[in-house]
Amino acid sequence: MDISTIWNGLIINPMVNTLLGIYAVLIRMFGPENMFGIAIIIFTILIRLVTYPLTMSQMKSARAMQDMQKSKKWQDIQKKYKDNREKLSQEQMALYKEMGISPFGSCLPTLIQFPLIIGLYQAIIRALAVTPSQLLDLANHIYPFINGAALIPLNNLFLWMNLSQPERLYIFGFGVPFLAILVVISTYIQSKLMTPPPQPGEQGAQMAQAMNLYMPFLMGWLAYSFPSGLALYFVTSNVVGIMQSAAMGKVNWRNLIPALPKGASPKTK
Amino acid sequence: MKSNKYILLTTIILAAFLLSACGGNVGTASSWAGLFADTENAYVAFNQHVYSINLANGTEKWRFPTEIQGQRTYYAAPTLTADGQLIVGDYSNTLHSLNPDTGAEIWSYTGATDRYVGSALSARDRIYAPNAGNELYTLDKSGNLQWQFSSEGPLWAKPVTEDSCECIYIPSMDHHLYAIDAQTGVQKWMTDELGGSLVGTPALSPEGVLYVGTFGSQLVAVDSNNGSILWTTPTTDWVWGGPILQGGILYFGDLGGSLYAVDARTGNIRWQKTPDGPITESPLVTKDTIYITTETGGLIALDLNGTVRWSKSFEGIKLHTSPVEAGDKILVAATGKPELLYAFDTSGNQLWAFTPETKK
Repeated sequence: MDISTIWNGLIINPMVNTLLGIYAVLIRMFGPENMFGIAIIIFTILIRLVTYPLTMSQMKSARAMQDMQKSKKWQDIQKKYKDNREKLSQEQMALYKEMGISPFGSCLPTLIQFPLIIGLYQAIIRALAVTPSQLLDLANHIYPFINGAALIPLNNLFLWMNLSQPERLYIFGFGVPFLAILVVISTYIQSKLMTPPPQPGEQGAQMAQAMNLYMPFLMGWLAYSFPSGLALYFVTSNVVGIMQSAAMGKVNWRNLIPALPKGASPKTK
Repeated sequence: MKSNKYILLTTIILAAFLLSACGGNVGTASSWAGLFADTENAYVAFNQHVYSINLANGTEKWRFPTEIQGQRTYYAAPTLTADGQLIVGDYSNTLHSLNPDTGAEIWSYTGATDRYVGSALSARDRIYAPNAGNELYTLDKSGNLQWQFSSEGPLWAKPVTEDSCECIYIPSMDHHLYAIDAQTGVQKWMTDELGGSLVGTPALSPEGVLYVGTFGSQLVAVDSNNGSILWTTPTTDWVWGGPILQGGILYFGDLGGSLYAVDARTGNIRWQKTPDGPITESPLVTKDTIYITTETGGLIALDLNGTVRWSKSFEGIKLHTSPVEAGDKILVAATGKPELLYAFDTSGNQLWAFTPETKK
C-alpha cells in the first residue's frame, strides 16, 4: 500500500465525502444556489471543532512556556549557566519537567493540523472537479451511500464568487481580490489577538512578531492565487478561531489596540 | 536570533511550496488527449500543444503553438471543417482555427468565459463549440459569433446534428439533453431530468432516436422530435462516453468496466462483458470489430458478439481516449508515458509510436 493510498483513504476520502454529504443535505433543504459555499463554511467549523482539543493544548503549552521564561528560576538559571550551553540546556529540560511542560507541546498540535489543512484544501478542489481527470478521480472516491451522480456538477457559485476560480470582485471594471484582502486582515487579527504580549528580552518574541507579519501575506497570496473555495475556508477558519479564543477568554485585545486598558488582556494563570 | 528568522522564512516558503504542490494543476488543465485523424494525418491535442502526425511513419509534421504559451493547454479533440480548417479549443477559453497543413493560426475566438473540454461540431458552414462555462458558442467560418445558447451546467460533449429538422442536440452536465434550432439558437425542447450528468456525444439513429449515457448509470433513448424518453437501460456504473450505433445495436462502456451491446429498438441488453478496467470514452466500432481502451492501460479488440480477439496491455499508463480508425490503422492516444500516440494494424501489431520531441 503506497503513501498516496493511505493519504486518500484516511484523510481525503472522508473529507470529500463529508463535504459532499453536507452539500447533499443543504441542497435538499434549500436548493443548490450558494450551497457549496455554505457547505465549505459548515465543514470548516466542523474541522475547527474536531481540532479544538489540539488548539487548546497548543495555546496552553505556549502560555506555560511563556510563564516559564518569565519565572525567576529560569532567569537565575540563565545567568548561572550563561557560559555553559550544555548545562543550560540540561537545566532547561529539568525545568520543563518540573513545570510539566512538553517542549513540543506548542508546535506538535500545529504539525498535526497541517496535514488536515492540506487535506481540506485537496478535498475542496477534488469536490469541485472542473476537469475530466478531476471528475474521474472524484468518481472513484465517492462512497456508495453518497449519490454522487445526483450532486454533480456542484453549484460552485457563492455570492459573487466562482469557488473553482481565484476570486475577484469587479468594482468599476477593476478586479479587486476582496477575499484575499479579508484573509490577510483576518489572519493578522487572529495572530495578533492570540499571541501573548511580548516580554522584554523574551526569547522567541521576535520570532512571533515576524510570524505575525509574514503569515498574513503568505495566506493572502495563497487566497489570491488559488480557487476561492480555499480562501473561503481561510476566512471562516480565522473567524471561528478568533471566536473560539474569545469564548475561552484567551484573546489579547491590547495586542491589537494598545490603547485599551490592562483588563482587556487575558489572565496568564 | 537572526538565524531563527531565516529558519522561519524558510519554513513559510516551504509550507507555501507544499501547499502549491498539493494543488497540482488546480484550476488549469488536467485531462487526456483529444484525437482526430483523416486519411493522411492524425491530430492530437495534449497538454501545451496540438500535434499533426504523419500517419505513414508517425513523425511530427507541425505543432501548435510552436512555443509553449504560459498555462495554455489543449485537450479537446480537433475538428476538421468542410472548408479545411482545423478547429480546436483550449483550456484558456480560446477557440482556434488552424491551417491543417501548416498549423498556422487562421483566427481565434476569445469570447468564452471558461475552457473548451469538448470538441466542436462543424455543420452547415457553422462551428458549434460547447464550453465548460455552460454555453454553446456558434460561429461562422471566419470565427464571428452568430448566437450562443446557455444551459444550466457545463457543456463537455460534442453536439450532434440532424439535417431534416436543422437541429443541434447538445447534452449537458445539468442532467438534460437539449435540442436547439441550428439557425437561431432557440431551444426547441429539453428532456426531463436524466438522473446524472451527460458528457458523452449522443448517437442519432436514422429513425430520429437519440441515445445517450448518463452518470445516473443508465442509457437513455430519446425521441428527437419532442425530447420524450422512449426507454432507459440501467448500467452497473456511470456512463461517460457516448454509445456507438451500428446495425441496430448500441455499443458502449461504463466506469465499472462493463462493455454493453444493447438493442437500439427495445433497450434490451444483448450481451455485457467485463474485459479489463473502467471504460471511459466511446468504443471504436468497425464493420466486424469493437476496439476499447481501459483506464488500466488495456487496448482490447472484440468481435461483435463480445469475444476478445486480441488485447494489449500498456503498463503504467492510462488509456481514456477513444481509439480512432485511420485507413488500415487503429490509433491509440496514451497518457503517462513519453509516447503520446500508438498506431496498430487490425491484428494488434504495433506499427509505430509517436513521442513528442522536447524543444530546448
